[in-house]
Amino acid sequence: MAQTTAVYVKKKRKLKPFDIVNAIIFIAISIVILLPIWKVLVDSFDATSGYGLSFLPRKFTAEAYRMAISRADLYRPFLISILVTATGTFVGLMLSTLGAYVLIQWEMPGRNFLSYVLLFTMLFSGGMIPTYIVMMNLHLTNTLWSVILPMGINVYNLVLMRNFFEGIPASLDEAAKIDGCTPMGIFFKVVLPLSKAALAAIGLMFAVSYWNDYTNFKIYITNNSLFNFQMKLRSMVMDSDLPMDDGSLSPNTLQNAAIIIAMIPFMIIYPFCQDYFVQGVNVGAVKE
Amino acid sequence: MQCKYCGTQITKKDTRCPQCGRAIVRPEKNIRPIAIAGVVIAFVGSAFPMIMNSNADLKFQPAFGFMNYESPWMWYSFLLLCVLSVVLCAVKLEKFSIAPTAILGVLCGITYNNVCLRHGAPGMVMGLAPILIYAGCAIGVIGVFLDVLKFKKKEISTDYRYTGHKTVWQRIYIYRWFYLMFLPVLVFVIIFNYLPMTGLRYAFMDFKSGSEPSYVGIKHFVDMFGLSEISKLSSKQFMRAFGNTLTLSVIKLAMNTFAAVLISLLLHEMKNIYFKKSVQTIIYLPHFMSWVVVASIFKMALSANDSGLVNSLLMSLGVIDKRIDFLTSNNLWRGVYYVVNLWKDTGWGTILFLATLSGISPELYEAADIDGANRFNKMRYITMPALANTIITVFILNLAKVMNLFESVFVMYNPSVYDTSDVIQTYIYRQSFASSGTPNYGYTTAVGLFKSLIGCILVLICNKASKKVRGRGIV
Amino acid sequence: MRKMSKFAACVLAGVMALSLIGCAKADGTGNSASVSSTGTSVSASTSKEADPAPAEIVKPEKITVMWDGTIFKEGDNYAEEFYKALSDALGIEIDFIRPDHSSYAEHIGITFNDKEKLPDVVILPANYYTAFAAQGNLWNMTDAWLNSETANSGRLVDAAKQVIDGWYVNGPDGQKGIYGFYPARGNGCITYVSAAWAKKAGYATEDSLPTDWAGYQEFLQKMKEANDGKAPVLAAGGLFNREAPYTNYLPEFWQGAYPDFYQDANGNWVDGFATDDMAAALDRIAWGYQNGYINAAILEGPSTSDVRNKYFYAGETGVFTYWAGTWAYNNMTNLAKNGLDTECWKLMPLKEMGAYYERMSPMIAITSACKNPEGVFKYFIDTMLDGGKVQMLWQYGVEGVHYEWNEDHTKINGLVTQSSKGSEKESKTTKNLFEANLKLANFAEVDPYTPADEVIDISFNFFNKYSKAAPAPVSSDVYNDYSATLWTERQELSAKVAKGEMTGAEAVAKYKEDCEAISNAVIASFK
Repeated sequence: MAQTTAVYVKKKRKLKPFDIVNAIIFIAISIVILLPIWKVLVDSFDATSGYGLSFLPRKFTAEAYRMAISRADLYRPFLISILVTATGTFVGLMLSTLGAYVLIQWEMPGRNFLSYVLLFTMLFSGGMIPTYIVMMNLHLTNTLWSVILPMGINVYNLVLMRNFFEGIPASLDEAAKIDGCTPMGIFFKVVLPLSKAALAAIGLMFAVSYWNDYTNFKIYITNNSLFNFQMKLRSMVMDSDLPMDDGSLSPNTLQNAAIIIAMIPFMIIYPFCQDYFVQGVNVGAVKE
Repeated sequence: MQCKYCGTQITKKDTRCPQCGRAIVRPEKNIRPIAIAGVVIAFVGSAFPMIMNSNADLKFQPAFGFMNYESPWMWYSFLLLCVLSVVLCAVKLEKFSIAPTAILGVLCGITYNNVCLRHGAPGMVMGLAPILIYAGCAIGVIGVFLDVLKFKKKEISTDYRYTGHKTVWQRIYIYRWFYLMFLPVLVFVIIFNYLPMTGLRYAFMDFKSGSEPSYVGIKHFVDMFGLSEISKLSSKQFMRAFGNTLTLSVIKLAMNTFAAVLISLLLHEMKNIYFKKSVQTIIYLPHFMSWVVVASIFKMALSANDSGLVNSLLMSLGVIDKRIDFLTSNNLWRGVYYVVNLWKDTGWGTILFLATLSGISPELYEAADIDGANRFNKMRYITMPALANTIITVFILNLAKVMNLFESVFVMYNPSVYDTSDVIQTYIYRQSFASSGTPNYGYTTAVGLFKSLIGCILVLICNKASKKVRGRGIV
Repeated sequence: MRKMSKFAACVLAGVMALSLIGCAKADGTGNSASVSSTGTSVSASTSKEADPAPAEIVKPEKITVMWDGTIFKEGDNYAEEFYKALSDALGIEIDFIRPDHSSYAEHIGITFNDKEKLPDVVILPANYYTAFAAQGNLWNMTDAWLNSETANSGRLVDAAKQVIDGWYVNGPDGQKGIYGFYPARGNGCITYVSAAWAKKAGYATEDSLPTDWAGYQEFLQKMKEANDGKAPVLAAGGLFNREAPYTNYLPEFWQGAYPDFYQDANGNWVDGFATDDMAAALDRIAWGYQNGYINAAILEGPSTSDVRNKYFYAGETGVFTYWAGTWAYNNMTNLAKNGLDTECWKLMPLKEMGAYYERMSPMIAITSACKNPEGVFKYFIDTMLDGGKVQMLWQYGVEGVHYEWNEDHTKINGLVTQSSKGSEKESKTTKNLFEANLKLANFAEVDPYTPADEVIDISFNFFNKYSKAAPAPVSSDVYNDYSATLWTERQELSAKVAKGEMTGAEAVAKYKEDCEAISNAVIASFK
């Protein structure tokens, strides 16, 4: 794809040497980034895969993907991942927006106190064992809540969200107040609709961290049927705990297919929210 | 004091000016930070031993302090009084905090006396607790009378922009719904962040899986800082991990930021919107791969054995005649680590910079064009200044997180490169899980506490820097 | 600034308040836990003294069991069917907790921090068994075992006595006792040599393989030359195994050197890394690594399965030390899958080595939190080797799911479970928890065992003939405090010697210099 667009650049008028050099640089960068991913992709289709400098499948097979969608022990973790990511992103966004909205109420008594309550958690943490004991006393271990809830509160994201809300003109707020809106009403009717970009951006950040979560699952979940895709992926990549013993696939093929499958959701989602995303982060972190 | 509207002399008790009838806004009283600091010192001091063995080689064992004092209520009331004192100071009733602060000292004295009576033996010396507590109490009492903040320039308070002269209670009533909205956040933070924080007390205890936690005073800090003969090695490993953490994360951060800025600048110059978007999508891709996957790809490529792609390629091209051990050589490992980090995170890092660049008004560039500025002049005088603020912001925000370096190192390192790769978090991990005995969570908590303290200092510095640069702190 | 300090103060106050609550609460649980643990220790001691009549032992209604990945996997291998069949056979409701296999040790650490919520039965790696027994977390089952049906059944195999002797560890009272049980032997590793590689190097038969170190050196040289300069050896997991007996994946190089603490023939405690044997062993490894006889990946932290699947089974290496028994057969099938010669020869232990190590098995223990330990022992543990239907479940699984009987009901055939269904070459279930060859007690009748291939039995017999018990895992307070530190140093120094940055003697000298204080303290703690 990169090469065709480069040709397109060349057709433009007023083409300077710099633009060509620039395009070449980015084609090079893209190749450097894509090469390892391409190799993984190729190996996931290559029945003979193993080592070697081949960049095209030597013996093409889509068996690994067929296996992934037809076998419960492969697609179930995938569905769990989706469930956790969706719920977690929702919880995370809810907490971040609520918290952020309260933190921009400058004249609210105790606002600064509350923001320092949040800041303090970025510095000190009790560590894994005390956290585990708390989770166990709440009877959350071995439920998906144990992986959803602790990551739902993310102060870094909350701060980004707050910065974004600051950018919303206060006059809108005032107008709504005069119209007799309750704070909740303003929040849902004025603030949230204006923050789609930030919601997309921070939502994506939450989604990435939920999707890639491994540590929490390892600690809190002992029930095999609640493992997520990253757990499965890691046990396949690190421990080669592969669910098949036949000659049609080499271990590598399935491992590589799993790596690609783990990336697919974001490859699909990302282009859709790229614009929102860039805009959202822009407004949230930079403009004041 | 005079009314600021009509200049009439008013007394302390007046709420309205007798002359013009306007409400009087009294200047806010200053808080007493020194008093609070004193109580905090006493609070921290109460974790340390009252008396302990004087032998450093026995790691000052046994030790006796509030935590293993026979009647635990002594410590609880001590902590309660600390809380009371700080609260009183915080609500600016610091005069009333003198009493609880003084009682702290009394409690300490009683406990010390009893502990000495029960456990005093030849070879026992006074620990840090009495010293810290008495010093803390003294500072706490004296600090009440020292208004140090009046020497600082007053900040313009934004708090009362709209509500004017309403009292605190009125304002609380106005904002009642907001407190309700904040409640879920508060509940989450308390449950998942603050409740586990009580576990920090294990830093002063032996806490092995399978046995009851027992108070050991400063044993773990002796191990960390190598104060006894037997602790030399663990201290050496800990200090090395500490140094590596700072080196690795700061250089990584600098390199990633630099690369991200460079790529953003070049990408910004890109005219073709489709090309630009495709490149952006491609360079963000690696961020969606988990570290274990990235590591397995690069380990496969860089391995020093026959199957390592890079080595094989270089060999067949005749560039090298001996395989390079990228992953097991102390000289090369860091380089490899930085490169892998660049590969994975540079693209993601460009988002903020690209956003800033797209916010620069095109008119500036047009004006520069008319002045005959070339591309590099424009970059020098328009783009870079606009970008500088963002660069510093990003750098500062990330600097606060440098102590948390873990997964990227954990999946890439191996015993042959501990010298250059072992970081605090991997050190903690090995102390917890890779030993052939049962782990002592007390020690890892102590290391974690030290890590938090360093992180805390970094954040405070960053916050200060952030205020200088952006005019406001991180939060 | 004023505002900031004010609110910082409030935050601090809040933290203090919370810490107060947390401390009070945690202390409360701590107290009750200590009460409960003393309660159980009292009951344990009474049981020792009074030796309750069998009639008093109540059958537990429900027990919780924490187990690693050594029995059937959930989902893949129909573990659910096994749970159900076991519950039905015992008449006890059993709740299995199965953490991720690779982080099982971490889960044990976490689980034992809250003693009120311990499962009744836990399977423990050997080092945790030693440590927890000494801490008083496990129920002393010495008497229960001595009076058990299994011990007195006369069905115990010959090797059982030696294995059971290894179960005796120090209890909280300093007395030796049995705190855990395992229905099988620990097994160990032997060295497999790819016949294809060896034949190329001019070794025509299994008997012609070297029997001493000099011969082995020559053998490696020839192997390398004859196979395109590929390094013939790669050990699973790196230079050391993470678990005791540490050196079992690279025995030819380590030989008699053992890197952790052990008791020598005279009963003296030795830090194995500070010995001259270790210096020599490190030099051997340096020789192997630097001359390319050991694959360079060994220092890059390869996972066990990578070494297996991506190297040995892919024909990248020709010498592979791995578990005896079923793995001999797995090696064959996996090599066949990759279209390679399936013949693997067994390397006799080199003269300098003497024998392969048999490790101490993981242990099934009853925790101090168990309300009815006598009942759990009698109805859960003692039945594992009942010589009949329960032993069939533990050894082979569920009839109709994991195996089926042949026509005259004398032998069983393994069935294919889900993890291998639908593939071209289906592999059959051969065992559940332990292999027939390793069991400690025979069936009342004949074991209906059908080996998947004769290599399994051959491999076991070979191992039984040429193995000795590995040094027992050790535990003491000082050891536990410093073992991670010591292992960091040992691994680092070994890697440095391998890379040629120092000699074996220098590494041992450095180790002595750095670790002498710790070593001495640890050894003192064992006495």
